[in-house]
Amino acid sequence: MIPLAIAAGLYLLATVLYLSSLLRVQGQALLPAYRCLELAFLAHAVALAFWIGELGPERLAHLWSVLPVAAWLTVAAYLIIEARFRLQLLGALVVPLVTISLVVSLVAAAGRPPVPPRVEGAVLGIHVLGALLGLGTFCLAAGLSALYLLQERQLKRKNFGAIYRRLPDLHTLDQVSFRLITVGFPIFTLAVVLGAVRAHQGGFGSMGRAYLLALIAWLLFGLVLQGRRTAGWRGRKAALLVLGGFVASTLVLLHRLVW
Amino acid sequence: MPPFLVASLSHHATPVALREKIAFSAEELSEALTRLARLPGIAEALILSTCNRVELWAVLGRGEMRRRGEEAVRQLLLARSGLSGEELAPYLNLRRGVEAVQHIFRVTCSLDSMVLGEPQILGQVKDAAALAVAAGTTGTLLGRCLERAFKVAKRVRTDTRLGASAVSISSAAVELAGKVFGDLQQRCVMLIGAGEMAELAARSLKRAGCLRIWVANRSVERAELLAAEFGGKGLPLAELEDYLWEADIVISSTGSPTTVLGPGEVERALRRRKRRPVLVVDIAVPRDVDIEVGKLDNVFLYDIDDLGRVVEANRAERAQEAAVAEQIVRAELESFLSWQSSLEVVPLIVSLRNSFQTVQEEEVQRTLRRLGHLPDKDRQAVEALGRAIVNKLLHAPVTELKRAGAQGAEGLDLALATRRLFGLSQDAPPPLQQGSELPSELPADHQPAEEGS
Repeated sequence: MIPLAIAAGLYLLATVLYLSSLLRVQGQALLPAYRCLELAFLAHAVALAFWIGELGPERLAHLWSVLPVAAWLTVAAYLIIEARFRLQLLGALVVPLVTISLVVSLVAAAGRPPVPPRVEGAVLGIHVLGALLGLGTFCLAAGLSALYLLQERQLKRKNFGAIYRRLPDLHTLDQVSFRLITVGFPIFTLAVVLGAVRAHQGGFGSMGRAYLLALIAWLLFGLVLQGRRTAGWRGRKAALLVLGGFVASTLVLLHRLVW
Repeated sequence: MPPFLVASLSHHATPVALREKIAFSAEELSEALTRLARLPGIAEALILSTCNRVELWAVLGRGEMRRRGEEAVRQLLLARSGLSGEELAPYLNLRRGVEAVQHIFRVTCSLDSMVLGEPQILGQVKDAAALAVAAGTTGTLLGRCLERAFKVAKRVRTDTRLGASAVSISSAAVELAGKVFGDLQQRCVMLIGAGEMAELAARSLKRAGCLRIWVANRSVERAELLAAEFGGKGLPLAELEDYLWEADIVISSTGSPTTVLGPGEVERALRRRKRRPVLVVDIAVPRDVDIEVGKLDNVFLYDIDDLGRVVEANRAERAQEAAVAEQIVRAELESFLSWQSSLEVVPLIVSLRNSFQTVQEEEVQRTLRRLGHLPDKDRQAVEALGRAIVNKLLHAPVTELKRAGAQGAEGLDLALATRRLFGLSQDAPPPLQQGSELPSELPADHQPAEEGS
């Protein structure tokens, strides 16, 4: 747990660096934050090895125990996107969420009773991992959509200030967000289906509300994909849908964590 | 003080009527350069001749030659302009020493340009430098100075946003297009009206990689004429709607007193293009495009004032970035000056002497410690022996350095060689010490940089 706490601390530092250098226009202003994030990412990788070793495989089916794995994969995806599209500002949105998810895991791990007697099996593991990976890609997509909305607002309102200069172009934001959802959606679908099967068998206990939220999220993201193909929903409308889907899927996660 | 001279007639003080008279054509340039470098008192030279400036950059000789070099440069410019000395004086800006080097750095990184941060000047200086190298008119000092100037320009480009943003109306349109579409490759442009401004904007967009350019105009002939220039297609205004949906960027500049493009047409076009975003730039006065168009989703409408505000914001940003760039210039200037003063002969002789004396004193003291039985008189004799050897050894090189130092270029090479042979640092010449024997017969400008500048 201590290595993961260290990684979380580094993420926190990166968050602070990101937020504090957000609106400085100079070319290299975000570099310290980015370097710190890279460091946190490496620490996170090491921490995962300890984390999995400490908990043992049977606990990995639990939401809070898989969360750090999904968070790490999300950061990995962000680093790839960053290298490819130079979307530094996305880090300012993603890194805080990653930090929070690690803290949640640590708190949950500290407060958990020992392993429940019944081992839930592989289906549960796949369900949880799939849901979290889907959530990770949605998180990145939602971050991009938020940046899209912000930049679109600057362009519509003709504010040619620091935000306008700093943010990337609309096309890139829109495209990358859309591609992430194309990747995340099938994974999330699998998780939802497995969840439905288990819920039907009564394996997950009562999960009516969470299930409804998951369905809403699934529908919203499905709408983004299908609406773009047929009706050409893109830009602002699509970005709003993505944000809505992300909020719904995050609520599912919160619901499951609290419950 | 570095022996640089910059004589400039630039957009700051010289009207274009005079600049064009003095400007060197490409054919004249290399011959003029060779002639300039042969003038008495001029050791190295470069000519920078652009539409905004004519400048002669030179490294002058030593002492009396320095004055003669400056006079030769002035005479050359007088002859070229056909003006008298008094008439030329208000236009001609002569910079010497540190100021001259600073000017070279500032010009190269576009801090002295009419449009701050414009990118062409670096290429022009590079061309001028290449020509001077080919003509053999650059040497150690000017060569190193140019090298540094290019380094400054590179640092300014990477470390500041000077020159990163658009400062003309047509480039503002391109910048906005970039903010909406990112890469402009494969984008399609529709010009409505074949006005001059639209043409300028279209030219910039074409350069930025736009694929097709269509021109819709009341007179088809005029439309086709302009479209042909971009390898595009001209069409009558009546057919606009058939093509509008394919255009990512619409630039309107008709002389029509009423609107040409309303929300209805644009909405229909949007539907046909599956809501892919459209940038509409309306540079006509009175405006061509109904402002309701700008309220549609995925349509970005800008008029001439908006473009003006992009330019204004960018100008302000450039001015801020210029302050950062000036800092870079200052830092590089200092580093260049300290390198240059390491080539000065006087501080070199001082450090050479210091280094020999240190060895002499150490060795003499070590020997004397072992010869503790010697009477004082003999000890003094041993010390005198050490000093005599060092002085004898130093006599020939110091005399030669002093002689070569007065010659300019030869002195530089010798100074470099001496520093290398005796392991004397290149960067920081030691301060002059009280009581050390100074070659007082050297010309006055051979004082170290700290005092000279």
